[in-house]
Parts: sequence; C-alpha cells; structure tokens
Amino acid sequence: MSAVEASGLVVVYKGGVKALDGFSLSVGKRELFALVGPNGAGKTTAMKVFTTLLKPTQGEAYVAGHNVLSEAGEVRRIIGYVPQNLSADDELTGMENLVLQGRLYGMNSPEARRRAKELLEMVGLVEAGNRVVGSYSGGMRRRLEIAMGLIHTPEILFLDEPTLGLDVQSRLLIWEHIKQLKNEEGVTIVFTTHYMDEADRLSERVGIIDSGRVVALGSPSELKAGIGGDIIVLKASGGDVADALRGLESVSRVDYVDGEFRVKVANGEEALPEVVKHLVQRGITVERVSLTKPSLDQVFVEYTGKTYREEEPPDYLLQTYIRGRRM
Amino acid sequence: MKSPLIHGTYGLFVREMKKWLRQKPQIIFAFVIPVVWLLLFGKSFNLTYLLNVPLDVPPEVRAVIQRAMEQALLRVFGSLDYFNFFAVGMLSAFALFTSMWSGMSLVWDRRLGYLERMLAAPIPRVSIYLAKVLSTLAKGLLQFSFMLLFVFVVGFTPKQGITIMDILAVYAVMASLILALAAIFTAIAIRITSHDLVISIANLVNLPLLFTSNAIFPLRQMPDWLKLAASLNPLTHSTSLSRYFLLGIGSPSPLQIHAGYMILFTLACIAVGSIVASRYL
Repeated sequence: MSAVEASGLVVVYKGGVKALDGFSLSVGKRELFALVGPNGAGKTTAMKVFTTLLKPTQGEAYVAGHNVLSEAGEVRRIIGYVPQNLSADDELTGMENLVLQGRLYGMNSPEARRRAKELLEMVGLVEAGNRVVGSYSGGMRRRLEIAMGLIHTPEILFLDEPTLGLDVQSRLLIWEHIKQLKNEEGVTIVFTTHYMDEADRLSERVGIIDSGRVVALGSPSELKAGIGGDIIVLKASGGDVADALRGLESVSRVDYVDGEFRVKVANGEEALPEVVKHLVQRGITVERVSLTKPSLDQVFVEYTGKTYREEEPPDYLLQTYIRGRRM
Repeated sequence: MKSPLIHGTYGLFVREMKKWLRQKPQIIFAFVIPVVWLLLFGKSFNLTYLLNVPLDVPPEVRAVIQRAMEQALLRVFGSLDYFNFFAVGMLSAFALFTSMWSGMSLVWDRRLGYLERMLAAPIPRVSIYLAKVLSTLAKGLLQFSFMLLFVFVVGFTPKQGITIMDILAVYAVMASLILALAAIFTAIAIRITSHDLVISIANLVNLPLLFTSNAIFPLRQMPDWLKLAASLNPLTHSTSLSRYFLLGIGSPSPLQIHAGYMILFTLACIAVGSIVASRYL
C-alpha cells in the first residue's frame, strides 16, 4: 500500500482558476518525496487536498489507504502537516504551541509535554522553548513548525515549502532535520519546493509539476539520466542551426527554447568543439555557447518545453515591489 | 478524555484564555470601560434631583407632590436613585459589548493561518467554534463579577432581603445572555475574512440593540413599535430578570416568560451556530 495515492485530481477554485488539472501521483511508504515546480503550479493545492483541507472538484486521493473525502478523520489522525505560512501562535511560547498541538491530537498533558521536550531538543529550540514565538527568527519559527507537525508521531509528514524565505544556513539545518526524520523515525515525508536543486539533493523521488499536473516522476538520478546526456546551450545566427547539426553523429536532439538552441549530446566536453566547428564551417555565427550537465532544471525543460526560472519572482510580486519603491 | 470534541474544545479554550490573560492592557480596558459608563453616565443623571419640587411651593402642597413623584419613580424605576436602575441595565449592555467581539479572534486565526492548523487536526469543526464561544463566556463572566462588585462599592442599593440565590440567579441570566450573543457573533464571523467587517458589524448592532432594550430606559414609557422591538431583544429579557433579582422590580408572571425566552433563545443560538460551524468552517 502506498503512502499517498492520487489519480486524476482536478481542483477548480471559485472564479474558474484551475489549480490542479489531472494530477496523479503515487508516493511509497517511508519515502522522502519532493513535489517540485514553479510558483502557481499547484503544489500547495495538492498538499491541501492530501491534508483534507480542500475538496477536489474531481478525482480521488488516498493517504495511507484512506480516502481524503470519506475518511478525512482517519487521514487527519495519521498525518502531520506543516503549512507554508508560519502559523504557530506567536503569543504563546514554543512549548505551549507544541503542547496545545499535542492536545488537539488527543494526547494527555504529561504525554504531550514529554514529547514536546523531545522535539524541542531535536530542532535545537530547548533554550527558546519558554519564549513567546513572536520573538523567534524565521529559521527558528520554521523549525518549531516542523516540530509541531511531528508532535503526534505521524506516519506521513507533509511539508509545504519548508525552506521558503530562509537563508542558506537555516536551509541546510532544515535539510538535516528532514533527513534525520526520515532515517531515524522512518516517517514518510512529502515536501514541496520550488528550488530544483533542493529537490535534487534532498529527495529520493521527485514529482515535477507544471500547470496542475505531474509531468515527470522518478528518482532525481533516473530523471536526469532520462535526458540522455549533456546539453549544449547556444545562441547562433546566420543559418539553420537545427538542420546543420542534424548531420552530426554525436548530436541526438536539437530544441529551440526561449531564443536558445539546446543541443543534446552524449558527452558534452567532447562534442562541444565539434559542434561549434561544424556550425562555423557552415557560415553560422555562434554568439554564445555554454555546456550544462543534466539537472532537474533540464528535466523540467525537457518535459514542459519551458525554461525554469526560480529566481524570478512572479509578476505580481515584482509589481508590488516597484510600487512600494515609488512611494 | 478520549472524545475529540472535548479535548479539542478544552485545548483551544485554554489557548484563548492564555492569550487573553497575557494581554494586560486588554484586561485593564475590560474593567475600566464599565467603570466609565457606570460612574459617568449612571451618576450624572440624577432623577431625584430633577423631580424635586421647587422650594417656593407651599410646604403642605410640596410634601404631597413630592410623595406622588417618589411613588411614580418607584413604580417605574424600582428605586429613587436612577443609578440602581441603570447599573443593572449596564450588566446586560456589557455582556453585549464584550460578546460582539467574539468573532474577531476567528478572523485573525484565519488570517494568520492558525485556523488551517486547527482544521487539519483530528477534532470536530464545532470544537473550534465552541472554544471561542466558551472563552467569551469566561471573559464576560469575569467582567460581570467585577462590575457587580464595583456597583456595590459606588453605592448600589439592592432590594431588601437579597440572598445569595438572587446573585446566583443573575449569574445564570448573564451566562445565558453571553452564550447566546457569543454564539451569534462567532457564527457570523465564520465566513468573514476581514476584521474591518467585524468592526462594522459590531458598530452597526451595538447601539440599536442597547436602545431597543430596557437597559437604559424603562419599557413602559416606550411607544408601541419600540416595545415590540424590545420584546424580541434578549437584552430586554435579561435586564428584566436581573432587575427582578437585584432590585425586586417586576412581577413573577412575566418573569417566567423572560426566563423561557432566554433559555430557548440561547439554546437556539448555540444549535444554529454549531450547525453553521460544522458545515461552513
């Protein structure tokens, strides 16, 4: 039995926005699974369906074999959920937040207190445990949130963007905690991230999601191997690049994405000089060239035909930023 | 405690109270505002002085008129001091003033994401709602206890032969009123996402509810249409009951009507609120 199973999920929000559009997925028990994709791809929506917070318009989802609609109570008991927004009560202390969370999951007071102490130690917040959460830094709050998700020793933990907005050090710390959880406590972990490198480095299996659908599913190494080699990215003019390269034996495929040619080759280092020479000989001007090793970014391009830009904030954020600056 | 309804409600109730008790200014205000109303409003309106017969009236006539005036006052207000009448009305008024904000914390919880956390937990939706209602009850009764002590300090004269049973009865009346109002105002906030709207609703209803009751002025001198409105207002019934227990005004027969109305109204509010909460929260 798999830990999470979804088939053909469709979620349409009021106003007609389709957040999920035929979303299917399967996560095995004790797996460390990453759901990765750009902002607005539907990651959080999927998490909300799995955590029973949102009813899908269509399709079915099972968590540990329980239907998220008809057995929502069972699902809630089994899972831990760490939402994307920092949502611990900032007027209570870390300890109080944990104990209250334990009480909501039916633990009695001493039991909740004992487990809370254990978790504060695990996430390194023993000192801060008796301070109000309002005084915590972003990284500390995130660690507390994770501890809160673990209070009732869940079978499956859902983490929505656990490293969002953290500095590199705090991010690494969170990664450590996640790995430790998986290895020592044997929890199935499903997390979302829009950092491809994070998914690559941390997870055992990845689901790449775009426009409300899982477009690729597998271990990072499988997915990268699936690209079938390195990619030479080049900008060139003065001739038909695709046609010119078709004759080369080392080139397996040429794509044109966002004004650049992406030339797939088995071994980048060996093929690069040959490719450039070949183009120059045919009177094509090579303006720029670079070599990329397979990465999940490349996998994303491969499956969606779009380049992956995680650094760029979405338009609306950029606009509020600009508006803010003018004032 | 194995019932999720009970441990959910209890846990969240403790959360509300902890947060409230931690906010010192908020508690001080909960005690200062009634003092302002009671002292400045209650003591500024001196009926006995207004109805004093002028000194240039001949003494024999003066004594008769004075007695007639006092009897009229006693008949309507149950006391020669308007403060007594007003103070009891204020007990119900503050039950309203306090419970009309009970939806606010729900709106904040929605905004700050804590609501989502509660919704993801294996507790019935209604326990989130009941915790809010019960914490308002606790805050309201604390405020009421303070007010009751305070009015005695500043010269409240209860009916002769008042017993502890009368005081307990007033507690029951207040608990019922606060529960009913908190149930309504929390239920209203279930689907609200902006706290401005909560403020607007509170501003919209507080004075109309106060003035369509007998909290400040007696029912008997109101026009008929206003009497009708007042008879539907729970504040009227709670004030009438409280005045009977504390001042001895009113007769036992409408008392049963008042008590019956309060009990049914409160039960209905909680039932409807709970259904709304479990369906729409």
